[in-house]
Amino acid sequence: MKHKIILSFLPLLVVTSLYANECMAVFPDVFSSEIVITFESRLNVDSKSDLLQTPSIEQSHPYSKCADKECKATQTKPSILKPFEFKSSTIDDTIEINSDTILGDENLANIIVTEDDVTLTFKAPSPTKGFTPIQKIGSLKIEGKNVTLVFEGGDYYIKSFEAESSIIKDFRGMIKSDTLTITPQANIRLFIDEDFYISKTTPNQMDKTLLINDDAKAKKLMLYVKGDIEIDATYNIDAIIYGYKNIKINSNPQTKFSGAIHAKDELTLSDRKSFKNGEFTYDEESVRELWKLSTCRALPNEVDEKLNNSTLLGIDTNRNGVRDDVERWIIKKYSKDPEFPKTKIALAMQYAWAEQKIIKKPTKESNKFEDNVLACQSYWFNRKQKDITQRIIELSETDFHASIQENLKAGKWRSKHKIFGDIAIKDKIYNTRKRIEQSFRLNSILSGSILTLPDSSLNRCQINIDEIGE
Amino acid sequence: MKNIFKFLLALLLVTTLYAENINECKTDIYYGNGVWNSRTQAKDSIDVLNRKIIIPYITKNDPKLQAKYGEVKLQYNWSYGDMMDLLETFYQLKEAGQIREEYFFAFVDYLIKTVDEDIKDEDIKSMRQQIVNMITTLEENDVDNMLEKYYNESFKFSHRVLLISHSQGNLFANRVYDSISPSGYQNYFANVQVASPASSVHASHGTYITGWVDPVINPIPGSMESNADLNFPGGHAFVEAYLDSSDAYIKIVEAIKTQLDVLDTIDSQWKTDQELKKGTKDYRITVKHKFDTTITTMQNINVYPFNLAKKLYQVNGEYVKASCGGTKILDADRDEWENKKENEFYYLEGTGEIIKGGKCEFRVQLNDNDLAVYDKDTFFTVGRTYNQPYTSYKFNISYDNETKTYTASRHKTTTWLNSCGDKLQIGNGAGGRWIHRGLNLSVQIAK
Repeated sequence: MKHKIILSFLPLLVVTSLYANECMAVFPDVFSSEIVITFESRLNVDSKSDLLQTPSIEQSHPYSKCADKECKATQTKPSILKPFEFKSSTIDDTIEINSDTILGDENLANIIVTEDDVTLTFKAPSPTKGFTPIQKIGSLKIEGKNVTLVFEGGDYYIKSFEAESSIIKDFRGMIKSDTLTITPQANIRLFIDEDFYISKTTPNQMDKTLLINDDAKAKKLMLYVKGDIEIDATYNIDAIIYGYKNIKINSNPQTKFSGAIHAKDELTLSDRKSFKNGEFTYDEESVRELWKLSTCRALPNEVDEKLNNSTLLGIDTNRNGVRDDVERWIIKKYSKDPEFPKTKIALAMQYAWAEQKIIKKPTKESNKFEDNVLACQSYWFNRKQKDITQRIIELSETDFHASIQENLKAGKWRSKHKIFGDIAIKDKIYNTRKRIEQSFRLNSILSGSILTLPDSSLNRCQINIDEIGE
Repeated sequence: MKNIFKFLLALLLVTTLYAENINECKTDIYYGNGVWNSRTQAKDSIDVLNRKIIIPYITKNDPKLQAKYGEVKLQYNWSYGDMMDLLETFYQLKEAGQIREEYFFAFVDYLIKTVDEDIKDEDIKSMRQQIVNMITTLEENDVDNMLEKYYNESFKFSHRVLLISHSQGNLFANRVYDSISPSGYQNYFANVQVASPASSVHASHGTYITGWVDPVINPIPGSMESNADLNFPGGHAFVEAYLDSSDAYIKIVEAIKTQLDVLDTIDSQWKTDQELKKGTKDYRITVKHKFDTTITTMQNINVYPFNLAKKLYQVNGEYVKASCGGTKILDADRDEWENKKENEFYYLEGTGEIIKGGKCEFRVQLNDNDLAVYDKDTFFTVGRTYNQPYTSYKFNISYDNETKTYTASRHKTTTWLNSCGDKLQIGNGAGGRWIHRGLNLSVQIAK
C-alpha cells in the first residue's frame, strides 16, 4: 500500500523535476547524440547508467564500458536546443597579441596570439540590457605555445576557434612543450559560430597539452559550437559541451573529462595511438545547476552568506547585475512554476536587476529601471489577457455586473502570476538593513512626486519574453 | 501663510511657460496612496487601477478617451517610516477635530516611551514638542508639495482633476482641497475617497467608499460610516481588500464614473475677452481666465469661436472654443462637409460645430398686430403673432445659444444684436427694412 502511494506520486515528482531543469534532458549523461555515438577507443565511461541517450552506439572498440556495463543506446534522441543567435563583432580587423593583454571592449577584432607564454584576458563589459556581460570577438587563433586564455564571467561570441601546435625546437634541438590553458574566472559560455578546433601535441606523452577549466565544476564553462568540434590533445577538460554538428574528441590514458557532451550529429571518441582508456565522468551536479531560457546556463555557486551580506552590493560572480544569492533563489523558485516558469524567471531577474541598481544608487534614474519591470509585466499581462479585456469592455456596455465579475476573475489571475513587488522576492533582495535603507532613500527622493508608469511595451523588457514561447 | 506665498510665487514663475498647452477637455486622474504603502505597492496600485477600472470602464480602448484621461498618475505620498506616518496621520486627525488634542499628545508620549521607557516626564514634554513641530512642518510641506504638483501638472493647463485617494491619502486630499489656490480651481477638483479615515469629504464634487470590515478605518473616531462590503475577513489594502471585493469594487467604479461625468459638465474656466472681426470669416476671439489672473499669455492668442460657452483646447495647433471632441477644423474655401451652407466659414470635425457669418439678411416687419421676420428670399414667420394692438413688444433673440431680450416699439425700433454684431433694425412700414443678421437668428415675441 505504502509503495502504491509512493508510485502514484512518482509521475508528479518526475514532472516537477523536468520543469525544474530542462537542461537535464539536454545533457542526460556524459555523452549523448542525436544520431550516433562511436567509441573508437576502449573507454570506461563513468556515466549515469549503461544506457546512453542516442539512437545508436557504434562500438568499434568492443570492451568499452558505461557504468561498468556494456554501453547501450536508449534508441531515443536527447532533448535539443534551438540554435543560438550569434552576435557578430562589428569590427572587421585582425590584431596580433604578443604579450599579456586584457581586452575589455564589447566588440573585438579577429585575434591571433602569435607569441609563446602569453596570458590573454577577456573581460566582457557589464550589460546595459539583458542579464549577462557579453563580448563579441572575431576569429580567435592561437599560434603561440603555452598560451593562457582567461575569461571573466559572461557570454563570449567567437566566430571560430583554432589552436594548433607547431613543431618548434629550442636551441638544444628539443621540442618545446606546449599547454593551452583556458580559465574561466566565473561561469562563462562560449558561443562559437563556426568550428572549434584544438590540436596540441607534446614530445612527452605524459604532459598535458590542454587544460580547460581544469579541476573546477563543469558548469563553469559551457561551450556551444555551431560548426564541428575537434579536440586532439592530452587534456583535462571540465565543461559542458553542446555541438550543433559533429564532435570528435580523442582519448588516451592521460585524458580526463568531466561534464557532459551533447552532439547534434555524430559524437566520436577517437583513438590516437593507444587503445587504453581515459577518464570520462558525468558531472551530474553541474548539470543540475543549469537553467534554460533559450540555451542552458549555469547558476552561480552558493555564496557565503556572511560575506555576501557584509557589503551593500554583495556577491555577483557572473557580473550580471543580480546578486548570486538572489539569482539562485529566483531560478529555483520560479523554474518550478507549472505555467510560466521562463517568463517569471525573466521578469524576476529583471526585477532583481532593477532593485540592485536602486541598492547601488537610489535615484530617480534607477527608479526608471523599476518602472520598466512593471511595464514589462504589464505588457505580458496585456498579451495574455487581450481577449478577456476586450470581453470585459464589451460586457461593461451591456451587463455591468457581469463585467465586474469577469474583471475580478482576471484580477485574480494577475495576482497569482505577478512578480513585481512580490513580497518574497523583495525580502530576498532587501535582506540587510543597509539594503533596506537604500530603498527608503529612494522613497524619500520620490516623495511628493507625480509618478506615471511608462508605456507597456516589449522594449521595456530586458529579455524578449515573446521569444520565450509561453 | 509663508507656504502659500511660496506656492503663489512658484505659480507666477511657471504659468507663462505652459499657457500654450491649455486643454479643458482633459481630466487627469490621480491616485493618492496611503501610509504603509511601499513604493512598489503604490505603483502596483495604479497599475491595477488602470486595469480594473480605467481601461474597462473609462477609456475602453478608445483612442479619444485615452487621450482625454491618459494613464493614472501616482501622487506619491511616502512614508517616512511607520512611526512618522502614524504620527502624521494622528496629527491630521487631530487637525480635523476627529481626535482630541490630549489624545494626540498621549499617543505621542506613548510612542516616546516605547522607544525609551526610562525617559523622564520633563524630557517627554520637550521631546513631544519637538516631534509635534517636526510633524507639523512635514505635513505642511507634504501638502504644499502636493498643491504645487497638482497645479504644475494639471490646473495650469486647465485640466480637471479627479483624485482617487486611499487611507491617509484622504486626509491629504481634504487638506489639499481646502488649500487650493485660486479657490476657483476647487470646482475643477473631484475626489473619490477609499478607506477614508476623514470625517467628511471636503471636495464639493466628491464621495467616499469605506468598507466593512476595514480594521484600520472602522475604529477611527469620527470617521465616516462604512458603506460597502469587503470580502471576508476584510482588510485595508486598496487592491487586495477594496478592488478585490465585488461590492466595494462596484461602488468605486460607479463613484469614479459619476465624478468624471460631473467634471465634464462644469463650465469653461475661460471667458471671452475680445471679439475680433465678428461676422466675417476672420472672426476670432481672445479669452482670459475667469479666476486665475496669473495666466495671461492667452490674451494674445486668437481662438476659433465655434461655441463660446464650451471649452478651450487645441485642434491641430489652433485654439478653439467648442464642445470637446473636435479633431479637425475644416475651411469652407477648401473643404466640404454635409449640408454645407453658403454662410458657413468653418466646420469642426468631431463636434459638428460651425462658425457662420456673412451677408444673409432679414427683414423684420412690425405691424400693429404682427411681428414677422423675413429672410432675403423667403418669407417666414419666426415668432408668434399677436393680435392685440400692443404699442410695444418684448422679444427674445437667440443667437448661438445666447439669448437677449429686446423691446420693439410699435412705430420705431432700433436696437443692436450684440451677439451678432450687426445692426438689427426693426421698423414699421410695408416690407420692413433689410437688416444683417447672425446665424440661427430666431425671434420670439413675449408680452
